[in-house]
Amino acid sequence: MQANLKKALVLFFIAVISGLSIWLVNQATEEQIAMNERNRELDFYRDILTVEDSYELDTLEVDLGDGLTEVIVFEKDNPSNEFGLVYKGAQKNSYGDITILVGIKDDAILSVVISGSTNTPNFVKRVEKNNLGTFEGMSVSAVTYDDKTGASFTYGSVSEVVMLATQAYTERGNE
Amino acid sequence: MTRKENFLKGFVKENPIFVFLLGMCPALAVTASFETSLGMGILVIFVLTMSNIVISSVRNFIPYEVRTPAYIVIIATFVTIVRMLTAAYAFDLYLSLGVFIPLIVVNCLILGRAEAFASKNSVLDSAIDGFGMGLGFTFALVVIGIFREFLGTGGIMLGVYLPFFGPNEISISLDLIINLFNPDFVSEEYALNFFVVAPGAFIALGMILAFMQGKKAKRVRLEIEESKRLIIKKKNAALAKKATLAKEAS
Repeated sequence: MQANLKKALVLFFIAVISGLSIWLVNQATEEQIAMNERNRELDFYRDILTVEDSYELDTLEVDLGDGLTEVIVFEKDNPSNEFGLVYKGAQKNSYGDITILVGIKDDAILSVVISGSTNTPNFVKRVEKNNLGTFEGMSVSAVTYDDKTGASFTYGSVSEVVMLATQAYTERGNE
Repeated sequence: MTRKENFLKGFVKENPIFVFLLGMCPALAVTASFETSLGMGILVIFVLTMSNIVISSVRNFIPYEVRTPAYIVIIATFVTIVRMLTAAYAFDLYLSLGVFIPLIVVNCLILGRAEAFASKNSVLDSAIDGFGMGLGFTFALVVIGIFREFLGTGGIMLGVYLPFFGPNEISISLDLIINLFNPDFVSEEYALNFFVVAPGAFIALGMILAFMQGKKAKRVRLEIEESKRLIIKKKNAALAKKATLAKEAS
């Protein structure tokens, strides 16, 4: 009994020290990591909306439900200078999690980008190479989907987010 | 074993990848480029050295029956720390290595050194062992990385993932030298892209291992021939002595 108690105490002690160490490093790096992730996200928006590097970007995010977020991208300290809309969709499928960005401007899809994914990389690469480009320039009122690739969970998530994004954009215009 | 031998053994004699075939998952998965190989190597050096130091320090307090879970918790702690530090200060490397950073926890090399060395030796010796083995592991990853990237793309890129190679990307290829004789030559056009994809990793590793084993086999053959020569020499000397003794007796 005493031996078992000793083993439990040793493991508990190691776990406490480990937890404290991780907490300390987390405190030290939290802000920097958040800044890196934010910059990466802004880089995606810059590419999608083809914004010049001279502009500093800022965003306003509105949660629309169903894992969809509407992101209004504008110039920092000058909200009247809007560059466009990006819809950010977070989906779960049988391969894992996936985040898709859909840029829309003047009733047309600018581009569709997979910004984060835990899906099988080869499936993601295939969908990025073969399918995402086909959405570019499509009118939000007449989006067509590749039925043949619909069997891929990755592409299924992409088409789901594109559908939700175009619907949200249309509803936004009607309001 | 002296401390110098302890430090150097991981490079060639007991190289984790080329000799023990440990840590093959990162050796195959992240060696598509020189920089990712070096980056993974640096992370492994940190985890291996730190976990060896801590395990060696607490080895007398950990009951034998629970040593493995205790070691894994210690290793996992350092992997989590290194993951956060990479995400904060080498974000491109963090994105590039992806899931292979958390997978360092299950790298057989690290648990293997904890069990085989750190749990039985002093803190200083364990630190030297961890650092040396980590450097040996990094050396092997870098060799595979250079081999694959050079054959697969025609050159080596620096400054893409690692922050210490400067803000601008630098490409190193043989174009500058070859262009002196043939100005139209572009090495990228002759690159074997196969080497930067997954099957290429197996072929590249196979080729490097075959080369290493070939060198080893040659050394062993020379040693055997040398020992045979010595035996013959001793035999001849004994026969000559015997003949002299027989001559003297008659």
